[in-house]
Amino acid sequence: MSSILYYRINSLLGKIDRIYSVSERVPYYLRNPIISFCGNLSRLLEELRGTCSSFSEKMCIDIEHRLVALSNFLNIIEIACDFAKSANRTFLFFVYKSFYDIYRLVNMSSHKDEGRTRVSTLIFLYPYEEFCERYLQLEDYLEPIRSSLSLTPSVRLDVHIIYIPRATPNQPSGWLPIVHEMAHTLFRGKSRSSLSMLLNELIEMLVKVIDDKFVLRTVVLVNYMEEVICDLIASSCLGPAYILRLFDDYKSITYWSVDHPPTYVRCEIVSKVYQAILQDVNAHILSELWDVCQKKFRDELERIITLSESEKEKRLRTLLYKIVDKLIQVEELRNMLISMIEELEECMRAYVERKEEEWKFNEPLFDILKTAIQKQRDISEVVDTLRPFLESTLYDIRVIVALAPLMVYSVKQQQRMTLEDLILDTIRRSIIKQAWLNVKGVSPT
Amino acid sequence: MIEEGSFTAILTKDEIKRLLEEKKLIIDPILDEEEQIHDVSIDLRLDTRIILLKPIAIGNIDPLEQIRLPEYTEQIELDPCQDKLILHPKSLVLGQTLEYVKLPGNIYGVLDGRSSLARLGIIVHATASSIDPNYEGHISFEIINLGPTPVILYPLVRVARLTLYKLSKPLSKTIKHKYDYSTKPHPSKITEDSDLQIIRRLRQKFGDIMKLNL
Repeated sequence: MSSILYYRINSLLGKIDRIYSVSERVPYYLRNPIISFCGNLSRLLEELRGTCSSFSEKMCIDIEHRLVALSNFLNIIEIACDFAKSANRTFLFFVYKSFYDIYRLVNMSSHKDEGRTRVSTLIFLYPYEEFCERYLQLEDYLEPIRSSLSLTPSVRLDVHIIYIPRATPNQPSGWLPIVHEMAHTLFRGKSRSSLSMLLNELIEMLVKVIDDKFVLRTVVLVNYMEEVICDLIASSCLGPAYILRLFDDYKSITYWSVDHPPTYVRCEIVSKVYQAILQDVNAHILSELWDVCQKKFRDELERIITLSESEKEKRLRTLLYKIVDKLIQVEELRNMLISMIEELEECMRAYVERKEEEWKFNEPLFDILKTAIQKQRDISEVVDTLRPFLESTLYDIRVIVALAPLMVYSVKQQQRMTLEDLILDTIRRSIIKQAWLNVKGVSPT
Repeated sequence: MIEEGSFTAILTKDEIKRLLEEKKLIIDPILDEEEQIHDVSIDLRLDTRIILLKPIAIGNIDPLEQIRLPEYTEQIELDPCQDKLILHPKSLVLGQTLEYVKLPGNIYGVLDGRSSLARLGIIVHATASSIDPNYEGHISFEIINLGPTPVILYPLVRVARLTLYKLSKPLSKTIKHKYDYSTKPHPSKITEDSDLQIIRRLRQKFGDIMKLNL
């Protein structure tokens, strides 16, 4: 067992060497804590390597588990170093096989949801500091490392970590919530700026005007509005596919948490606001798809509301709708929203335009976007890149709808509509097949 | 000497099904597998997208000149639940397969009409029936009524038969086909032929000299 530990330690030391070398490109204020951390860790690991032959098997296993977590964390730092230079924000995409891998990584407690463990497929997003402080619990053997990770408030590593289930790359619709999470990072980037202040002021004012008897902390409403705004940004970038996916996958979330309104409320708000506020931003070409999407969830929405809502929740929902109705009339907010969408598009483009040698991941979506956005490429190459997705989505109208805006987004830069033709053609064939099967009596729909 | 198994062979029903399952061969949608896949071929259906040719609009078609497509052709889309296409004697339309077809590099296809329709005078894909390996898109074809009476065609009827040949070795996709990734029938792109450019220049440059030599 100690030989495995020995091997693991050597591998970590190799990784630290790599971090030393790649961190040269990182700004000094970020490099200092990284170097300090790596120095501490390196010394500790060498000490461990010297003594590990005398460890008991149980001790070896214990340390081994912690070193696995540490290895993953070193990956984060390594990638952060690789990307730190080229963007003022770094989005780290991690692909995990299951919830349990995440658990192993961060020693995180299982979510307990109404008495049963919920194996979440949500994308997790934590600011870097929160990740270090709350989830990297390495007190015992690695306490010196943990202390070195405590960054001073003046040193902020502007890194956001988005966890993505391993299955996601194979399910293009699974990519859609990433845009929502990316929107959060933009929102939080602006949180100390005017957007949050404006929201606070507006909500305080509106709560008084709309329903002064209703007692609800403003901060909760601001949280809700952040979710709604991120939903709006995501649905603006991705079209109806986002809301369709949100509803399909998370409609069981019918409770009001401190951070999130229930899914059906989010869906309905986006659905209501979409046409009013975002029409001129983009996606008017997808209006037909949007109609399909709305029809799909409207009936079920009614059923969920009837079944699950208490009187208090109904009042809360009505209040939220009223606030949203008022807010979307505020020109300043609308402009900010549009500017955030543009910023998000820039971020996505910056991400996908990185040089090949710096390319660390092989996520299909970003490969697609990268291929599509690079100019002077023949459109057939883009089509070839997208081919596996088209093939795997035959007849599945939901996924086709989900894919369509992604593809349209990816070719938008080139102003070439070949792909859109292809997508619409796929949808057309799919509809014909459904109708055929329906007449033949094979399909109930 | 040709080694066993290395020569071209026609795909059988089982092989077609296997390739479809493996998604190496894409034919989408196959509305009725039992009806469409035969022992050594697969029936394809008439799509809703049709091009009508309007011969009266121009005097003649000269491949050396740019064909003025808007004057010569008219794209229509039939409603599969309501519309029909009445094909009059000696008239020609361009149709396409309902199915989107993608051939792998080692499969060559031959598209032919169905004999049941031929007996009514309807000729489908009158010539140039070959579908190259790696081709991808709907397959456009000509539909001609050589019979004495008008014939009504409905969208989604089986009009063509695709026979697939396995090549001794796969071809890489280096040649770009003029009609690749087509989602609607295309009129002739003969003016894009590179050798026609040469013929045009040849005639411009040496027309008089050739005449003298003759």
